[in-house]
Amino acid sequence: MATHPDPLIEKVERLCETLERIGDALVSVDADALLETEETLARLLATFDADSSQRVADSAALKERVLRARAALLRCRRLGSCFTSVAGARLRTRSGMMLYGPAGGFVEHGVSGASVKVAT
Amino acid sequence: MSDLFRMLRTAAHSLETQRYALDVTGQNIANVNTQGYVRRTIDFAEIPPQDPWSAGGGVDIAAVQAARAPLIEGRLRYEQVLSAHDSAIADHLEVVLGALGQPGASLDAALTRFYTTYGALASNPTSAPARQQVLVEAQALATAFRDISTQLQNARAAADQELRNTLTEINALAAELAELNAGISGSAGANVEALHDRQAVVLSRLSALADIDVIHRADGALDVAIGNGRALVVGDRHYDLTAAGTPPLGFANILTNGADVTTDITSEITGGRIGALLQIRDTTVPSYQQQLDQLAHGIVTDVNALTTSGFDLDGNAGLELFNPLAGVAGAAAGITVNAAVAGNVRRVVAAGTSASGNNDVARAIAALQDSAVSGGSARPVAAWGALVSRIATDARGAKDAAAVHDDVVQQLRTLRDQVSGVSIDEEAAMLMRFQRSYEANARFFQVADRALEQLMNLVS
Repeated sequence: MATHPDPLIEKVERLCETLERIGDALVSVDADALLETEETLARLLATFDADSSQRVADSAALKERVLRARAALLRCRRLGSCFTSVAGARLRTRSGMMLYGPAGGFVEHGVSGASVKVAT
Repeated sequence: MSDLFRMLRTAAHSLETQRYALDVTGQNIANVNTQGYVRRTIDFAEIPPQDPWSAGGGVDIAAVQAARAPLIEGRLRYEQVLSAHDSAIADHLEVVLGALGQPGASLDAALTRFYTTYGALASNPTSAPARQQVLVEAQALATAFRDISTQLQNARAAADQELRNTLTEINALAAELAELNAGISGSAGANVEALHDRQAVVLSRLSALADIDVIHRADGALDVAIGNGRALVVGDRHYDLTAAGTPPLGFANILTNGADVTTDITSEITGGRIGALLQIRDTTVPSYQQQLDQLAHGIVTDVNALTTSGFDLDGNAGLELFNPLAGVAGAAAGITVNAAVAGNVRRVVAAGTSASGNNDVARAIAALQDSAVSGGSARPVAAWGALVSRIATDARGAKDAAAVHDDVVQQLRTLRDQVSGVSIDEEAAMLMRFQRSYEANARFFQVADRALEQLMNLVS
């Protein structure tokens, strides 16, 4: 993988890739792939505040990557929102369980994959 | 002795039941790539004992069920309408964009050459070759405008033709759906699931073509409405959509004759491929045509105003270089060079006075390339660039939107396959695990948004 000499552009490039991976994981409904991206995303974002005050020599290259990252973020949100609405409705209709509470927060259910695994 | 026979019968029946279960599994595997096939699951049921001295009659098949997910199917249909709409817009705008020509080799080049030849004429206002060149470039400019206008009109005609073909496709699908409804209502047993599979495929194709409403009947059949609730399929009957050419261009309006009353439903259809084709034909491309007409009208007005204020080589009052236009509408298609000027190079106007050698008008026309066109705020080449850029942006936007919708459709298909046929507990666990994985990432989205906003401020 080619790296950009400007560290800020390189970080935005990696943010793009991570967001695109999240989008791909949402498309393929792959929970493992989603869990893998969480740490990378957190680490990348933690370094942004310090970097964003730097001057950028190649602003065109940065702009192109920022726009790409924004598009990837929009895609993630769109896919996440679709999944949430479908999963929420299915859980409600099939099992009576709620995915989100009245305040809009995610409802924690004490369900683990192993304990409910059904042998067929 | 009878107990022995009963035991043997029970064992044979149980084996037969298991064989059937294996058949169903084999059918599931064999049809893994069959479009529309939904995995079948078997509900086993114990055969209860007939007397206190019997342990039971073995096992039987209570039902074979297709693992359908109607909620996801409904959402899938909704997303397919959006996906098909944006894909059709993107496809057609790509063609329009291609027809406009490459930058530097299209109308922009014709405009530049036209104004440049007037600059050359200003340097030598009595030169016959320079005057001839002005006429050549004026003809080329008029031809370029007419060609692009024709290309835009062709794009509308192509959308209209595709619309007519799509109506035929919709009618065929509606007829098949009505036939399937008849089959589903009148049949029982395993075959009905195969009909339901086909029904889902047909419905999926139909929903990509137009925004439809589906009403499920208790017997498994379904009714389909289009537009503002216009009947397309009701039970085993279907109502064809027809295309009716309307003046002045002969483009098709969509008619339905549901309930024996013919109704024009063109304005009611906004989604799916048909909605996109109507949008391209009746709104998007006409707005480009209007912009092109505005440019053509502005250029003709500006140039003619100058030529009629000047004098030709013989000191006669100047004629219009371009034939006057009736109005903005249709200007690009109707732009032509005045035959009286085209036939005599001495009629080309370069002078602002009747004095021989004056070049005021030629200089003024050459300078038009650096001033805003009448009726607009941009220079001629920039106005053309703005039109091309607008079409490119529209095409790109539609393409991006189609890509996102395609992703959502793919996600829903995967989700449907993963949740179909699994137990409620297993499905709940899967959905919640995935939801939590998503939430783990989503809590950083706002931070990412802010960081990208800051970076955008750095570069803009």
